[in-house]
Amino acid sequence: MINHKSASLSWKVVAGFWLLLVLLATLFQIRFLSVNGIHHDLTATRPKVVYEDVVAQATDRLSYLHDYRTIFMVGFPVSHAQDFESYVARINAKWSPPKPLESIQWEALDINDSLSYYRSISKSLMSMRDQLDAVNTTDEELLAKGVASLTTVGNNGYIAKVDDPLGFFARWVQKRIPKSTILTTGETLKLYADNYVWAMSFSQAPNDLKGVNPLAFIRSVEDLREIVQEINPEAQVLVRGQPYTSAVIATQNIHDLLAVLIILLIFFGFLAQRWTKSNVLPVLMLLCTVVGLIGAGCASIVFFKEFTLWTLTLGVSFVGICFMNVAYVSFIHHRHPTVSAQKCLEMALPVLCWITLIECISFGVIWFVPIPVWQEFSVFMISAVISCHITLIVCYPLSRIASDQQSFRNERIDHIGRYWPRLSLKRWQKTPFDVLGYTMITLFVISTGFYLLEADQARTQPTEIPLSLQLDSARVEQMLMLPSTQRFFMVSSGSVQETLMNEEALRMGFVQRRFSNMTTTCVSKWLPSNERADHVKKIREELFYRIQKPLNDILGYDIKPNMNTQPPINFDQWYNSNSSGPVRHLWLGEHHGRYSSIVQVAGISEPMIPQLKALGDALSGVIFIDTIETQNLALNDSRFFITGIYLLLVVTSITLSLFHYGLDSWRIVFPPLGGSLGMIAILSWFKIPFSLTSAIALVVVYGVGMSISLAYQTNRDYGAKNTILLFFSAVATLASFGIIGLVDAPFTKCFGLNCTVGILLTCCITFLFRQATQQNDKADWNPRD
Amino acid sequence: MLLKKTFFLRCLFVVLIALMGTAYASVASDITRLATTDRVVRGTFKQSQYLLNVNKPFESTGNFIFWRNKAMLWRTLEPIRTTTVYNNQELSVYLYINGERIEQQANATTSLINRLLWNLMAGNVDVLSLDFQVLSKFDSTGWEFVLYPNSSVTNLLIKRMTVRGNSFAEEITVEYFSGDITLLELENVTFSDKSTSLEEAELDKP
Repeated sequence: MINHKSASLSWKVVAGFWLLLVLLATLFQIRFLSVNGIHHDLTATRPKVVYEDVVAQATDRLSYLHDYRTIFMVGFPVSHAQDFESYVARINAKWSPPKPLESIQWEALDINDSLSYYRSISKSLMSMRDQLDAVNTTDEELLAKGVASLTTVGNNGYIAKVDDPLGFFARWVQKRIPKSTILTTGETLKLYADNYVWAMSFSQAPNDLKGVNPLAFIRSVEDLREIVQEINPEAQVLVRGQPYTSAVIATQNIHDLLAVLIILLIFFGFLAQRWTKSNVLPVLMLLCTVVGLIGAGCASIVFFKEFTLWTLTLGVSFVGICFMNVAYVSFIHHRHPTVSAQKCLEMALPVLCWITLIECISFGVIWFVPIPVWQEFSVFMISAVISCHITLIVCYPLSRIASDQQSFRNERIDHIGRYWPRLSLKRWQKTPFDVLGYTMITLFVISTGFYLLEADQARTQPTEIPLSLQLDSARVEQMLMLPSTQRFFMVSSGSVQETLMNEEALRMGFVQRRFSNMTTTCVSKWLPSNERADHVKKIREELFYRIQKPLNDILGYDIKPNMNTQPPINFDQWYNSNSSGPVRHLWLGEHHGRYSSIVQVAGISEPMIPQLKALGDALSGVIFIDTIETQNLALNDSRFFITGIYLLLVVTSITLSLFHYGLDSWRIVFPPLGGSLGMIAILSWFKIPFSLTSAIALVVVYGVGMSISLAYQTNRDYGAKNTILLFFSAVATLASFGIIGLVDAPFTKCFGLNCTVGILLTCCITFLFRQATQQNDKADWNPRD
Repeated sequence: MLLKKTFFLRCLFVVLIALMGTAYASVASDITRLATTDRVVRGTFKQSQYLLNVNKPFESTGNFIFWRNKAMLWRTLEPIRTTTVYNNQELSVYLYINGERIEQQANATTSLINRLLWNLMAGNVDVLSLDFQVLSKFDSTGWEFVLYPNSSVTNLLIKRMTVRGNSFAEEITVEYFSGDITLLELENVTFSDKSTSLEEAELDKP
């Protein structure tokens, strides 16, 4: 027998120590968040895929642009274009990009400087289209090219006409200078497009959006809109970039989260008040929840060096689980009103430990999902459950809850048992056709649901990006013809020249296959391979000689071939000069004796992807990298892996349950199993595919459902009052999972919806297969009565 | 001391820019005095190309029709028949060589000279300040303004453009970065409110 006086003292010491730890953890968390802010980068919602060395280098270089570059564009109608510069000056005086984004300076970019090298090797340059067409061009067409710039109006001359009489170099340059874009000094660029003249500025955010305050970012963009509206009411503002998307969604998420927390506080306050007459128990519930959240936050920071907003949002579901665990101990106390709180805890502890273990295992499985947010969620929930559990163990004996305070306010809830059907052997014998009919209908619904299941859709959109953002982004991409950073070609070979030649073969493939809506960006587009440069020289000379005489006849004087000596092409010299600036990041250099480069493509549409893959397969040393597809495959694999673990958990839990509860164990295992599978079937009726999030929800529903089922079944001898525990557990978990389904944050909608349906079904099934009690035996409800 | 000198130079620069702006504004308002009914501009031209290292200029003549805010039809008649049609979106060239009609397409928006002509004829001269620093001269014989590229891309193409005129632009000189020079003389410029059906048919099928 425990000496209660000394035990109470030691409990107080332990509790004091625990609360001191919690206090330190709180201070640590406050300090961390005040320095680093809350992590809200949407890249955390993408799967981590391990690529081989060079591909990883390529994806890193491009994702740096994709994930952390933001484009701010302000457009004024062309009719107001004369005021453009004064407008820009006024905007710059009043507004600057939000901190810590850094503006990209264009001051050092001098097109003439970078083009000087190409002027010096102009004889070796020719656009791929011209090179291909040259073979089939008639003499008349060639002559037309020579005459056109003399007789028409508005031709651009980049080098002297006599050095480029057929305009090949002019056309080569034309395709490489920014389309209708005029660079200004400083940070602002100008663009004519869509009957607007646009001022553009580019900003780079730090990695992981460290230090970026989403609320300040959104406020800054709103300020920009206001300033622009004041200057010119017809002006438009477009912002494009992952940092802005992250900030928009994070801001919405923060607002939703605040609303959710207020609703949950009110709701769970009400629920706790309905649960017990005691004033201490709601405080204990609140304490366990708060300590759980603090513990979870600290664990996230320790494991991941960050605390993600999306994890916090998903972690709201912990509140229901915490309520359920505390309510369970309280329920045991209600069953044994004469025992002390400490004794009650001793009685509740075995099942409570099982419940905690089951919950931890089900959340622990989520660690295997290769998405940072889910991994952080896994650690968050395990830490929260354990912290809650420890707080409950440490504080419950000290709560001094009197046994009379344990009585329920809602004694009549158990009456719902009378109106809820109960399936039993007796019932089946009594009304076999009724039971058979209901079973047939249920089986039909479930089997049709599985038949309709869209199992091939591996990935649902992690978050719904607002339509206006998507439209703005598409408009900017179309205006600037931005190359894709997620789908590109990688070219490699044993030497620099061979790599350049492989790139050229790839570009030739684009021309030959008439991919006219797409354009490539790559190194060889600016600097040809030596072999192609020699070939181009010869072609240009041949073509010139073909039309030299008729051209001279028309002009009335002799234009001679360009005899000026031009320097040989030198890759290293070019690479280290300003001339390589636009594409330097696409050259990956040498790795293990192979030279690799990236070929970016602009204007990719979904239907063209198979053709791009086929093009990559057809050429040696060229592969098409589709990071979106790779991520989808990773998610697909992960989905099956998690489903496999789910099945393993089911088998393990059935085995363990058989050892503990014998043949009655089906009452514990079947409800969560039926609930989780029913969840998939029912949601498929509503066209919700079986995604990775659904697979995660399977495991969570199984774990939480089993906890509810275990708590219910282990107290089945308590009669109809057991209904109250089930009812409150169900309401608490449904509310916490359901409410995150309403939050606009990555994964939350799908996860919340899946879990809510799954837990609801689990509770219904638990209740449907409840054991006979004196009450419900008497009122064995028959629908026909 | 150095700071004061720099400050003084900056102030002087600002004053000069302001003065240039005022002068330019007066030229712009003068040459854009077009009636709202003047929807079609017609005229003839003579274009002379002075090419680097070639002593003899290449001359061509023809006529043009401009539909405000719609299209420009530029017809070279001598020495080689050539028709150029362009609008905001595209530029098409049709050449007639050895009895064959050859078509070429180009991007209209990147041609500064086309943009200059378009805006001169449409009366949107103010828009040119986007691409150029404009210096103007105004006397009894007419006006002249010189356009210097104000960005590296425009400077990539041309060194300078000079426009002279009186009631309308009469002479445009373009000095390319390459050293070639184009002189464009516009004559017999008339304005009307509509074009003939023959002209419109030619615009449709140049």
